[in-house]
Amino acid sequence: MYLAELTITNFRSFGPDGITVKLREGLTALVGENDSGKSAVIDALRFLLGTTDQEWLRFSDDDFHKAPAGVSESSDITISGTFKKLAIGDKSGFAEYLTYGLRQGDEPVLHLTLTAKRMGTRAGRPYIATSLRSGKNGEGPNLDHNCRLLLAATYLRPLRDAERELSSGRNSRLSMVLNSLGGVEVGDLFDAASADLSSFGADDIKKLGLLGLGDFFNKLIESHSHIKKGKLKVNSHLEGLQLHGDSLTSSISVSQNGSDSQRLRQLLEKLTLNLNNAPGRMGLGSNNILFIACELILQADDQDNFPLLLIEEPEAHVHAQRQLRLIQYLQKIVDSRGDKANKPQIIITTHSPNLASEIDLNNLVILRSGKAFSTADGETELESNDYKFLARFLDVTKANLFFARGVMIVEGDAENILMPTLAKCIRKDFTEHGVSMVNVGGVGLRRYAKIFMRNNPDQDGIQSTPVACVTDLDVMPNCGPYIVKNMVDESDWPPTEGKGARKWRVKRDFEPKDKELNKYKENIISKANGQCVKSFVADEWTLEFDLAFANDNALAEEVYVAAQLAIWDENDNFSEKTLEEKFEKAKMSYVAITEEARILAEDKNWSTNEVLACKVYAMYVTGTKASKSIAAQYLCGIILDKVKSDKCYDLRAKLPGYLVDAIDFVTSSLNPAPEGEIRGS
Amino acid sequence: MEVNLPKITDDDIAWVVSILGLPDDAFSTEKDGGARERILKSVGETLDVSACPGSGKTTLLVAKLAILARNWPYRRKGMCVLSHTNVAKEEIEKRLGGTEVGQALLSYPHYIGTIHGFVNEFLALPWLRSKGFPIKVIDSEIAYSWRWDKLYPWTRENAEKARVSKSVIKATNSQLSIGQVPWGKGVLGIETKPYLNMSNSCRESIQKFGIHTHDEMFMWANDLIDCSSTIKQHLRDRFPLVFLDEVQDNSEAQSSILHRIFMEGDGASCRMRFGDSDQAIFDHAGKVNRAKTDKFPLDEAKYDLPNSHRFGQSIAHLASPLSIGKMSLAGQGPKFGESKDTAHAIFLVDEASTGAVLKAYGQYLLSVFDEEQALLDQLTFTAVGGVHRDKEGAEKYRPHNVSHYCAEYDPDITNKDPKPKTFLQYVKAGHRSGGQFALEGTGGESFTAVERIAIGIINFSKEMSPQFNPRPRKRNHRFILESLKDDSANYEKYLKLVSYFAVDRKFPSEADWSTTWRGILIDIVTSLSSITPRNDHAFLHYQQQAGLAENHKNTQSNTQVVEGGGRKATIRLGSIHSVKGETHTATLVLDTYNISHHLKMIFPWIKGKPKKTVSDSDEKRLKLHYVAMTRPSHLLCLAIKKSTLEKDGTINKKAIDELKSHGWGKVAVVDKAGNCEWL
Repeated sequence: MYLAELTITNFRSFGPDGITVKLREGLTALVGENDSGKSAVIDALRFLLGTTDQEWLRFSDDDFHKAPAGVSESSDITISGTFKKLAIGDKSGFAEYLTYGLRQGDEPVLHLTLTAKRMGTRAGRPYIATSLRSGKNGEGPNLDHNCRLLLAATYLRPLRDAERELSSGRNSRLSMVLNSLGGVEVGDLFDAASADLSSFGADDIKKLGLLGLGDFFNKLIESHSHIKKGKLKVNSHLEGLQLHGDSLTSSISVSQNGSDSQRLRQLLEKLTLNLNNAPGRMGLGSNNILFIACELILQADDQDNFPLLLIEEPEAHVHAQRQLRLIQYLQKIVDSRGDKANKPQIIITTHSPNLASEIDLNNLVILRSGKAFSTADGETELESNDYKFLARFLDVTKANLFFARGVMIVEGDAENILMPTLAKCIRKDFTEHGVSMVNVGGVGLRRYAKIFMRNNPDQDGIQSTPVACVTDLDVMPNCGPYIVKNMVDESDWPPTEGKGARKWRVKRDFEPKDKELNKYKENIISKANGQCVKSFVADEWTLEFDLAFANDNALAEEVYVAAQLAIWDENDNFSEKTLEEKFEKAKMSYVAITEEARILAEDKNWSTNEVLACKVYAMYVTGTKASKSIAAQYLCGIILDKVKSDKCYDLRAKLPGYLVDAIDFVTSSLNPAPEGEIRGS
Repeated sequence: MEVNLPKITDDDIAWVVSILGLPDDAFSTEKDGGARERILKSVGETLDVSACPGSGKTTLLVAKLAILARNWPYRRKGMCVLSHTNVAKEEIEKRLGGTEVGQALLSYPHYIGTIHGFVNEFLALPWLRSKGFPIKVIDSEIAYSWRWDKLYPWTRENAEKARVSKSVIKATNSQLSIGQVPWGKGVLGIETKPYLNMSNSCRESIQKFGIHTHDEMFMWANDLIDCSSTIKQHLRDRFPLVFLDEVQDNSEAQSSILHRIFMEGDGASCRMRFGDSDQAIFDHAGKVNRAKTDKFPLDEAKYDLPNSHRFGQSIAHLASPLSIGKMSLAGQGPKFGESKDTAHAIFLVDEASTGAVLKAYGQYLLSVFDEEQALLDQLTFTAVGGVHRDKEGAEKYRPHNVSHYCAEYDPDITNKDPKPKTFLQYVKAGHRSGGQFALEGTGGESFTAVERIAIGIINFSKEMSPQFNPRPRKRNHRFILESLKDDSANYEKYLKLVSYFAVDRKFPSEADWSTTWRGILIDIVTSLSSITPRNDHAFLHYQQQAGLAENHKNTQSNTQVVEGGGRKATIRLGSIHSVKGETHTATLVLDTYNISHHLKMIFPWIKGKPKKTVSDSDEKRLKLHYVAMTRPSHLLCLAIKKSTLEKDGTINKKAIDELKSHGWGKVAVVDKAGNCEWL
């Protein structure tokens, strides 16, 4: 059995429309930025199922969703869960609470609905009535208390003080864990009142159980000569202090009393869990791992209990490699039970890209704007084989996308380096807007985008995170092949189709130009477009070409200089000169090529702008090619300098339109950061 | 079904004997030839226990349950204890309620309740909910009349003319077909308008209004088992041990569904049945619906408990001939000495003296029981009859029913769980049970009265509007307060009503009722159900609280008081059905009539000379009166028509001798003043 679906309404940030979270058999990770409701989902589960630590959770007034001003108070909280894949033991154990399918062969499911109603105040306190019912829409019978205990989840809170939890003391977690392990009562008891210590031998001691040992030890202490001496002294004073006829005497005992089970608990509470071979006090991280191990004991030990483990932020205090190890281990626990009846279900919350990247995409649920988006197969527009691809390539550098308020997906390093700077220079700082860059390194651009596209948007709603796919058009101007491919005559061009066909396209291939080229562009866009995803395709050819070409070669000089500097850098040319000297030299060289371009254009009757841009772009693709990423670094520097030194420098007007649009789009988050408000209390 | 339960040891038995406060030897090897001990210690064995009246089978069952619950190793598997009444459950609540074991027994994963409750909770209701049908009322009577009222007047009138019973409108399968409808001497065609009208009414009541009959619950339960082949396994897995009490009263429908759920095919649950086939009596007069499936007791699993701890050998001897199962009762009850053993009496009555027999019985009680009044008040004296409801035309068969012996007898407040027909009957029942609980010291006096009144109001509101549909709950009074909290005027009125009827325990005069209280009640019900009941609705009829003015009779609780020599004996009246399972000090069995006079027909058995062949109707009469005759611990009396013993207008001396030699110590002719002429 596993909890397949959870629906929450009017609880904390989730309003009357509610949220439905689809959970996975085995491991589910709830990811999302702060305040996205991860903890509210976990708390809803704790309310619904109860927890094994027996912590008494009660609803308070601020658990009710606050309706916006002007709207009447929001009404009852409802939290309902649906359990599926019931094993035979579940079906018999919950027989009176099941909901059956109507078709032959349908498997029964278990619905649970918790409602909390505000019932005014009683004795000056808000009174909130709760009920836990079974059946569709909570129409079935109330769940019996004993039955509910079977569903109790194991809960690991975030930012736990693991050290305190593991040390001795009243109600220590360790004592609870040890107490609930089977076999704690095995062994003989020790009858402190009648046992004769002098005849109590080693064999007798061996037979004692834990509690027996404790009581035996206490008795030894109480009868130690030093303690006896103390008692005599006290009594001798007492004697002198009492009136005639009084008979006060004292006794000294180890403070431990109550029933067997109470004394056993007190005994266990004296224990502390430590790591061996630790040289001194351990850090929080190790303690956390130890704590989790401790909880896992409980899970594994109980056959009847519904094995649900709720872990908030397992990454807390734990460094990256250990986080991965932890996730692997949790996954292993799930996998090791195969299809056994009490296969554990683990639900974690995290905002660690580390963890998110390690967890199978199928097991992620993204929480955003009060909605939950499972990224499991079938829930997104991804194809099944895309999951295999993403399992390999969605690494920690890309896992940011699960937490971002805007995502820009680019094909290569140059875009990855340039875009944040360009955005910053047109006052759309990505960091400020919570935008993440995803550099796919040439492959699978659209697959990442489709993570955000819902297969069933009517039911799930649409993700509000704007996702921009930035890609090249890859159509050269007609002069392109002559300049960058050193083609002399059109007769050298390979055919567009058939054997030995050329991959590259030239504007001339598209006739009539407007219609066919647009169609070509639309086709690229359509590969990932819709819902929150938008593709931004270069207006002309590639990033560098378009930068050099757009707006009458507005940035051609900068792009050329950056390329030239990159080439010199890599080939160790002019290394004796300062950057400024090199910079000036590159500028000179740019002047030369503008002139060449003008002449060539005139000669061939080509567009001067196109020829110049081609010549600039040729720096990256012909001869001693400039590294695109190094050139991008230089270009960033050049542009930043210009923006800094020239207040009127209008980068926005110089950039190609598709880049501006893409930047505007990803920073247009439909989900602005909550506005802080500080109120007097 | 494999169960791995710890063995039941002598320590367990010693523990349960002490926790239940039983004598140390209650389950010793000597009792019933060790049968009790064997039954108690048996684990994982299918048993049928045939228990005679007063054998203490409920105690045995409770003891066994307590031991099993104490060592119960499972958290998701439990014991299922089913019966027709909640006697076992109440026994557990009473004897073990405060203990850990008692609480465990009464909650998950165990189930203790009625067969209907079980079938509803585990099969029918989950299935109806899964199908999305509403569930508001499960009550055959309400369902039939609701459906009938929904018919077009034309259909209804014609159906009434054609003598069609209301109960034909019930779903016979999951397609909600109403099946064959007898119409006059023929059958109603399924294409006819009246048929479609009835069919629609049935469909609407089930699908839209959630009004269901009890039979339909069994139909749904069977339907779910048909649809989900594995559900039986789940229920058997959940309840590896099944206990059935009062098995003799199972109908065929109950017996077959229980057999289907727990026994049929592989992996049967381990079952233990308790019952007494001699005591099989039914509410449906004239209809033998004894279960054919799964006969009880099965010879190969049979254990007899013939020893009664209720009565002595003299009563055992008188009742034994009536045992259909030919159980030879052994009276091991408290011994009372010769005088009472020979005191069992037969009162002979005629037309004129029928109404005086209670007086004669009372006087006789006062002579047999010479205790002080205070002690006398603690004894239970009863008079019971097979038929207790009066009927048109019954006069000519006097004595036809209990009311012919006592004119003030009110059959509607005699049931253990009375379902009164008017509000004032609810009030009476509330006062009565409140008083009773107060006497036993087991319940808050006003609480039971308040609840009774609240249930009355809720039931009436439900009747007014099916939309008003509270779920069954424990605190009906709280529920009404909650429902009325936004209607402060009626909230106040309700509190006023409760304080008058329940707290102050007042009963209004007819004038007070019609000028004040009836109006208040109408307002409250209107507020709850949004429909205003008519002033003359049957539920609002006034009824005299008879008996308060007259000293000797108290119909309010169906008792009659007989005085003599400065002492008085209080006799409680009731039907035989209503006293099943009870123990009385003395019981007077009244002759009543159904087709023929009962005691007259079984007279051969009464005098210890049973007929060789037993007809079906004899069998029913014998079982019914076997129950009656095994109630008393001390004194058994019969009231028989004098004519039964008369031959040619005079009493047959030989018959008297036969009775006396059989053990009926006294035979008297009663005159119309209640005086006895001892023969």
